[in-house]
This record gives sequence, structure tokens and C-alpha cells, in this order.
Amino acid sequence: MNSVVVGITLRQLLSRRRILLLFLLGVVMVLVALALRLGLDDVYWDLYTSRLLDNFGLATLMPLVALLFGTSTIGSELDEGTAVYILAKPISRSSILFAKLLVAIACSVAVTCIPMAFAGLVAGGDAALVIGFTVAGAFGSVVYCALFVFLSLVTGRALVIGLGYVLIWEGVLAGLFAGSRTFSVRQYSLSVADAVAEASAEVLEAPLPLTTALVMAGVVTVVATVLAWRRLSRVEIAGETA
Amino acid sequence: MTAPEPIAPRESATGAIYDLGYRSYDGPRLGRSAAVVTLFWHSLRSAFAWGKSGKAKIVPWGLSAIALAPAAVATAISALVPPGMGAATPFTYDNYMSEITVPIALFVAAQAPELVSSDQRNRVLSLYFSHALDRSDYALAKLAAMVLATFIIGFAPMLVLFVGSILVAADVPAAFGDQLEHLPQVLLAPLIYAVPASALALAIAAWTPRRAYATGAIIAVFMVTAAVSGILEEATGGRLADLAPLINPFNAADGTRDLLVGDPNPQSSVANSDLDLWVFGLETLVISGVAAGAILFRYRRVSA
Amino acid sequence: MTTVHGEAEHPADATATVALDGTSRWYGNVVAVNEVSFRLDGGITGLLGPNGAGKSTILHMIAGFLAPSSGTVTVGGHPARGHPEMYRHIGLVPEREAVYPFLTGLQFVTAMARLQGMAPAEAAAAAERAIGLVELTSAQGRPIGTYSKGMRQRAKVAAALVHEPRILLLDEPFNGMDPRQRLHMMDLLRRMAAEGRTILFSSHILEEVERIAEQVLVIVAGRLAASGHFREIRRLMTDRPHTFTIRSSDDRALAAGLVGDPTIGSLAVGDGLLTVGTNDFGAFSPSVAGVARRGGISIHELLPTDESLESVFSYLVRR
Repeated sequence: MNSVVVGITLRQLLSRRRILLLFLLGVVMVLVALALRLGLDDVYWDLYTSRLLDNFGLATLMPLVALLFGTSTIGSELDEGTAVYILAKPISRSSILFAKLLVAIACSVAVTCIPMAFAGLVAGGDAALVIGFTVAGAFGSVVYCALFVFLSLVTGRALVIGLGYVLIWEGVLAGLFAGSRTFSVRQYSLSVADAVAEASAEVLEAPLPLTTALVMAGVVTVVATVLAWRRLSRVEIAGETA
Repeated sequence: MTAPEPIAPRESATGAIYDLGYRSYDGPRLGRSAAVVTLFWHSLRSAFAWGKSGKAKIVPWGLSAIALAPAAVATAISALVPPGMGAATPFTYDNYMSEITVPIALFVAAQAPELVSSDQRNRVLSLYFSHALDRSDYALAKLAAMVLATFIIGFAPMLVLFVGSILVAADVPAAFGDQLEHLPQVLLAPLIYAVPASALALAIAAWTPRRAYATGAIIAVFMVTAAVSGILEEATGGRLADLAPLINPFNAADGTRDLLVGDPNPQSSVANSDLDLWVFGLETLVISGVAAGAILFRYRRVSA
Repeated sequence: MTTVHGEAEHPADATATVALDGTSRWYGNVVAVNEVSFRLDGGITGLLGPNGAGKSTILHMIAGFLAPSSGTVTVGGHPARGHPEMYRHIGLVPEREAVYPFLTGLQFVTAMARLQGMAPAEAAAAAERAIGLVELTSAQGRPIGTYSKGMRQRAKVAAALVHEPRILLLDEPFNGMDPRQRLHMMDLLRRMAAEGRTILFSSHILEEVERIAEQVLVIVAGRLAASGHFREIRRLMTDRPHTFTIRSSDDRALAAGLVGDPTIGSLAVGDGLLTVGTNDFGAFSPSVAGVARRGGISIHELLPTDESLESVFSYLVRR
């Protein structure tokens, strides 16, 4: 039963145009990595691999991809009107949510981590560093997806609001107010990267302690998923006219 | 014998039956220019969700508030702190627009699709094109409206800084004289950012009837260009580092502003690059021109 | 609470019962459905009303997709909302056009069967059967994105009946179908109703409802304006005169005779036709027969002119 929802959702999320554009994004990242590799002395490779995978990978690619897949896995069906076909079935709301979430996470992780790993290697960074960031990319994708799926069940403008969160809260405010880092998915991912990469402080230093990051990420993911399940169980779908 | 005079009618109450059927319009028909102007104002209102539900207003007005907040806070601080304590705020005329590139980017990403993607989605283009309005008129009216809307987002805080600095000063007329030299920047800087951002956003949004795709694509362009130019600028040296800032359209706007009206911000990417400012000015022109051309091309070709 | 019984051949199955009791639904200040109560136990019922009357809202409440603001909506005795298991017995054809354009008709209906809990082989067979019922077999291998509107509607109906539900809810099902497809669909619905199912469909097209609905529920501005068989509803509309047309061997003489009869409310002599209005339906026919016999006039034809659903409906809408 689940597998049918998974199949339909996968086909919905991965249209040809989308795959092409996302591939292009990955190519851009790898090209930049190449430019770094060619333009820098190998002393700097670790440092700039870290910069690349942080600013381009975790701060740009990961949230954008998670927003795309997270907000549209359920959101686009609710918007289009095809959600009734999945919901008017004797399937528990939790298995529907789980299937949708799984697809969003799988797509996000694939589209984020593969280019990141590739670009990291091309940029010449140390293996542990690349692995650290790649794991962080997967970790962050999971949390983001849970968050954005919940958001898409709450509002029709989930994409813009999610963008506002990523760009304004995580981007601008987290730089200004240290306390807000506790509520930033990007910071959680950075802490995971730091823990796995075991890199020196100039190369990678995550301000948030690992335990805090893991706990907060866990809390956010679980709470978002539970709330999303509740919203899905009570979802209201009206007809076009009355 | 003469015919008898007809009896003069008595003064009586009058009655009439009115024709309530369909009337055709015989009045003056305002031509093409009126149609363009109407579309312009209508689009401008759409950009701020005027006439739509409260929920629709949240995004544009929320972003306007975010763009305005630092100016308001800075003015409030300088008003409350006694003069002479020299509370220097991080927000000045010179760097304000650079600081609010995020709300501006979000605004155009969120609202440009409202202006152009919705019409395609709802298939009303044929209604527009069957009137006095030309396809190019439609495109240009939408562009003008988006530029003005984005200009307003940037102008409001600059105006607050301007008026605020005057009003909090001890000697208002003298302060007015002092601040007057900044007026060109207050008026032009928002425009310098509004034009390329709006043109780019509309160019992307015009290609798809789905608003969510458009928003995602626009923001992706802004975010990726910022990330790429940032990295390359920082990491490389020589020619590449000089050229890297060109990748980000907001850097081009920074440079154009430095060229025309403001003082360069010493830490900005523009200052670090060895390129002459006119290069950035040219880039802004090129971006705006190519984007506008793309919009016109799209509307020439789209099937209504 | 009005009870509308269908002419089911099988005894009313508890799981085929749909019941609304004092159900209302409002959005802020706008009342979409206003204290509607009815009970369906099989047969075909038409939900009739102008656009915006609340028909879709009622259907979606029965399908568990909208919560009633007050009152209850039960299906098979259980509340409509919060019980996904009940969807085993419900087939819904929503009004919105959108279906998965990338799936072929067969893939779509098979997927719906699988989601209903059927094993893959069983689902494929059921899907083929359902597609055959709606006459979509020739196009079943094409993506739904290439279908015409009528074909899409039929695909939606096939998806709704693939699991042989006891209750079928159809929101404007004949939208986009050509006359032949409509007739075929009506036949299909009649057959399904004869098997004991409860079918509720909404429409604002009177001819459709008139043709297959055994019972109607007339919704006007959110309220249930009338329910039952439309001819019975017409009989109940006593504050509105029935009109008949009469053709006889001598219209004028007949008219002269009728004019003095107290049961006659209005009389119009037309071109070979006598139009008569009466408030007392029961006493009218003996009166006419008596007048005709006394005058030696033969009556060739006596027809009611406004017992169509259209006249009933326009009366109810205008009240």
C-alpha cells in the first residue's frame, strides 16, 4: 500500500525538467570546486573545500532542495486537488505521511549529497572533511524535510515562508544573535560536519555544541512529524464550488 | 366658422417608464495608453496584495516591514539616545540597500510570480490581448509595476533614514541642509537595485505558469550566484577574484550605486575588486536589458 | 428528519447508510450548509441546487473531508471523519479536474485498487473490469494527460468503483461528457443502485437528475428546500396552482362551463388550447369531467404543464 504512494509521489516529484535543473545545479557546484582546485595551492584545499561545502552546500543547495521536495511532496497534491485520491483510502494517515516524507527525504539526500561529495573530492579536500559535510547534508535534509512537510500542511505559502526562515532567520539573524543558532537547522548540520570531519579550527568550527545540535535536531524532527501527522488526520479539502 | 380650439391640457402629474434594458456605451473610449496605465496600477496593487485577502498580504507586507525595520530601529535609537553620545548605527545611506538584499530578493521572488505566472495559470492572457493592449505593452506595464513596487520597498527605509536624521537633530533646518546632499542617493539607490532584481525575477517567472516553481527558480538564481561569487572572490586571486563579484547581480547594483550616487563601502566585494565601477554599471544595464528582452520575447511567443 | 428510502432489492445494509443530522457548516460569517438533515439507505439520490448552494460541501462532509461546524454526519453509523477504514465502502468522484497526468488510465485505476487494499493481481483484474464498465478500454494505455475531459471523468468514475463500494459519491459527474457517454453512465449508475448501493450525485443540470434520480434533495442557499420524489414535492406545493392544458372538441364551451366552477383558479383560452389553473388538485379532475359531460364536449387531451423538475426547482429557488 505504501509502495503505491511512494511510486506516485516519486513520479510527481521527479519530472524531466526538474531533474535537469537540479543536475545543472550540481554541475555548477562541481565547476566551482574545479576552479578552486586549479586556482589554489594545495595548502588551501581543505579550507576552501570547507567553505564551498558550507556556503554552497549546506547553506544554499541543501535548503533549496529540501524546500523543493519537502513542500511539494504533500503540498502540491493538496494544491492541485489530487490529494483526495490518496486520502480517500483505507490507509492510516501515518503510513501516507511516512511514505511522502520518505520520498522527499530520499530525493533531497540524493540531490544534495551526491554533488556535495563529488564537489568536495574535486576541490581536493581531505576525505574525512568531505564525508563530514556529506553526512551533515543528509542529516540536515532529514530535519528540513520534516519541517517543510509540516509547513506545507499548515499554509499554502509554505515555500515562501520556508525561504524566509532559511534566508532571514538562518541567514541573517543567526549571524547577529548567537542564541538563535539553537533554532537553526544549518547550525545543526554544521555541528555534525564538525564532529565527523575532525578538522582543525580554521578549516571548520561549528559554534553549536554537538549534543545541543543532535538533541535540538531530534526534537524538531519528531515534533514536526507528529504535528504533520495530526494536521494530515484533520485535513480539510473543499470542493471547487459549493 | 373657425374650428374650435383644442382644449388646453390641464396641468397634471407626470409619469414616465424608464428603459432598463441593455445600453451600449457611447462615451469616449480611452485608448491604448489608458489601458496600459490601468494594467500598471492594477499590477502594482497586486504586488502588494491590495484587494486580496489578509493572508495574501502577509508576505509582501511582512517583507516590507523587514526591509524597513533596521531603519526604523536606527532612527528610534538616535532619537532616544541624547545627541552627543554618538550612537553610531550600522545602517547608513551607503550600505542600507546592500543590507536589505535578502528581503528584496524574497519580495521579487514571491511577488513576480503573482504578477505574471497567475495570469498564465488562469489563462486570462487572451482576455488582455484582445483589447487595446499590445503584447509588449502588457510586458512593459508588468515590468514597470514590479520595478516601482520593489523601489518602494527600498525607498521607504531610505526615506525613514532621511526624515529621521532631520527630525532628531537639534537644529532641524540646518539638518535639512546637511542631509540634502544625500537626497539623490535616497531617490536613486533603491531604483538601481529595483530594476535588475525585478527584471530578472519577471524574466524567470514569465516562463512558467506555476508560481511555486517560479519562486523557487528566482531564489535559486539569487542564492547560487551569491554563493558562487562569494567563494570565488574569497578563494582565488588575481583576475578571477576581480571578476568573481560580477556573478552576483546585487554586486553589480552595489557598484552602480557607488558609481552614481554613493560612497563605496570599503568592505564590499565591489571595493575589493580591482574593476572600475563603470563595469558594474554596465553589467546592471546589461542584466536589466537582457531580462527585459527575455520578458518581451516570452510574451511575443506565449500562446494566449 | 426526512427519510429517503431507495427501491433497493436487498435489505438496507447498515454500511450503506448515509445520515446527516442537523448538519451545518460555516466559514466565518458565511453559512455554506444550514441545518441539513437527511438519511440515505440505498438507491440513487440527486443532490440538486444552484451553484454555490452547498452541494459540494455536503458531499465532502460525507466523504470525511470537511468537518461539520455543528450536527453530525455519519456513514454506516460511524462519524464520517477520522475513520480511514470507512473508505473501503466509499467511492468518491471529486469535481476538480486534476488527476495524475503521468499515469495511464489503467495504471491510475490499478493504483487506486491497490490503495484500497487489493493484491496486485486482483487489483489489475478489478481495474480492467472497472475500465470496461466505463468504456475506456481503448484508451487505457494512454497517459491521462492526453485524455479529453469526458475521458478523464470516466477514469475518475472507474477509480471510484473499482473496489465495488457500497456508497458512491459523485460531484458533478456528467461534466464534460457527451450525451452518449452520459446515457451510458446513467445506465451504469442505475445498475449499481439496483444492487443495493447508495448513490448520491450532485448536479445543477435538471435533465440529468430527472432522468435517473429516484429521489432528490434540493439545496438552496445551504438549506434543504425539499426532499423526496419530485412529483410528490410538486403535489405538496399547494400554495402554487397546478396548471393543465386541455384540448377538447369545443374549448370555448368548456371554458364557459369551467369559469363558474370554484375549483378553477385561472383560465386562458389560447390557440386550440385551454390553459387552466387550479389550487385544488383533487377536486379538479372530477369537476372537469363533469363539465365536459354536461356540455357534451369530448376531452382529447389533459396534461399537467408544470410537473417537470424544472418548474419545481425554479419554484423552490425563488421562495
